[in-house]
Amino acid sequence: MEHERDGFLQAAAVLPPELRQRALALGPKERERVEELRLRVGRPLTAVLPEGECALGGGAVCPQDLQRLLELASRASVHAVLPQLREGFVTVTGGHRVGLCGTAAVEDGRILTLRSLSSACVRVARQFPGIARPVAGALLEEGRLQSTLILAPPGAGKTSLLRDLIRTISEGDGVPPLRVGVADQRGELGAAFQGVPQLELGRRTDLLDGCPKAQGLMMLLRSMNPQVLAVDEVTAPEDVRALTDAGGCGAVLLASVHGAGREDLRRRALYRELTETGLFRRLVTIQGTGAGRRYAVEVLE
Amino acid sequence: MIHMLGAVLVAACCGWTGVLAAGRLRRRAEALEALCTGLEQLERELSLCLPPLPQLMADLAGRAPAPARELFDGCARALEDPDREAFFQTWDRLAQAVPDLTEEDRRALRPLGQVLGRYDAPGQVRAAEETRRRLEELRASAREESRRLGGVYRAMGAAGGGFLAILLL
Repeated sequence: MEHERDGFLQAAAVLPPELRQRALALGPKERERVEELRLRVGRPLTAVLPEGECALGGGAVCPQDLQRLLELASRASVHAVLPQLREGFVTVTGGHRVGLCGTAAVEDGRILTLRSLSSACVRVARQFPGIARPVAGALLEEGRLQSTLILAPPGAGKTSLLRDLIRTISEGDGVPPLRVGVADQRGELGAAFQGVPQLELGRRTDLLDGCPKAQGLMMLLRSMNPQVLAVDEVTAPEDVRALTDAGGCGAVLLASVHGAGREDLRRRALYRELTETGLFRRLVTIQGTGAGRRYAVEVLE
Repeated sequence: MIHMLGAVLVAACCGWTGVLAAGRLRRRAEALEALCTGLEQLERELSLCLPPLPQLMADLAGRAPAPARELFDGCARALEDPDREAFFQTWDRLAQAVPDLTEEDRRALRPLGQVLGRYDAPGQVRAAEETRRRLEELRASAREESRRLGGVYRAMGAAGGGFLAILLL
């Protein structure tokens, strides 16, 4: 419970002081249930709860509030978060993700930065120790962990499940303990701060933070001799190539992808490559939200 | 006896005033030197490691000579406060408080606060280089002034004190 409140406080800390006061006016029970805080210019601050979005009162958010939010989220260091900013988000202390919308400054087809910010979404990262325990056993075949793909739509809890799966395997919690290398490009799995993971990933985990996924996987493979390699949100062909190479080197893979169901895996060429080549042997899908989440494990032939 | 004591005191005060005036010139040159050194370290760190601003300021606070150290330390502390003002306001306020600088020196230092942490690293390095070059020019003129006028102030203080002492006696 304390961690839940801390998570909310950490996430709310990136809000400008006046908006933060409005968020902190929420009661302890509501704070624990807040999934996101949303800011849109000209509209009041809102909180997203499992039952929907509700306004937190007070005046409308102004463009200066969003500039201030970016300064607080980046710790006054846009240069340090520029690669993330170009993808539309900033990860803050505690692994909370601040998504940003505005006008993209583009040069030669490349996004340089976001200017004239118009809205932001502060997503509260939460750790749920033990959620992977019922799943982990089904990922074994003759006592050996199989490469596993987690498939679910955005916001369904893929990162939370992957994080706890890493912790479970690394700790040997109901499965044989293994060394896990994590390529955490967005800083959401371990949320490292000055080299120390803020979220629990287990004692046998090596975390490579901030590095592009494809390069990170190869660096881990070369330098840390991992038995398992984990990566969140595979979205690019180079990530798939790196996973294929890593899988060919004998490492067990854990990865997550966006998608509503198995149909999406078949429809997208990128994902077809992941499943049809036999790279992954297990598929975990997530249904439901909040405490009602259910996990289903399928064997991929 | 009282006349003699008064004359000695007046002479000492005048001499001390001259020494203080010369010291102010010297300290201004030293402060500008320290700021140039600090900014050079800042450029190198930003070019190579891209550290977040709080980490960069804390690092420089441990390495730069005074009074640049105090400026960076103040920035590092302010950045840890979640209710802090915008960074450029912090920089402005602390640059104003660097001792021994003239208004012109402070005017040269202040614009950097509008750039640090707000743009990409090369943009910030360029701004730091420009600020450092301007401060180096000011440091050169401050040194020259200290060399030229330091002795004059000390001599004038001593001569003025001696003259007043003779008048009192």
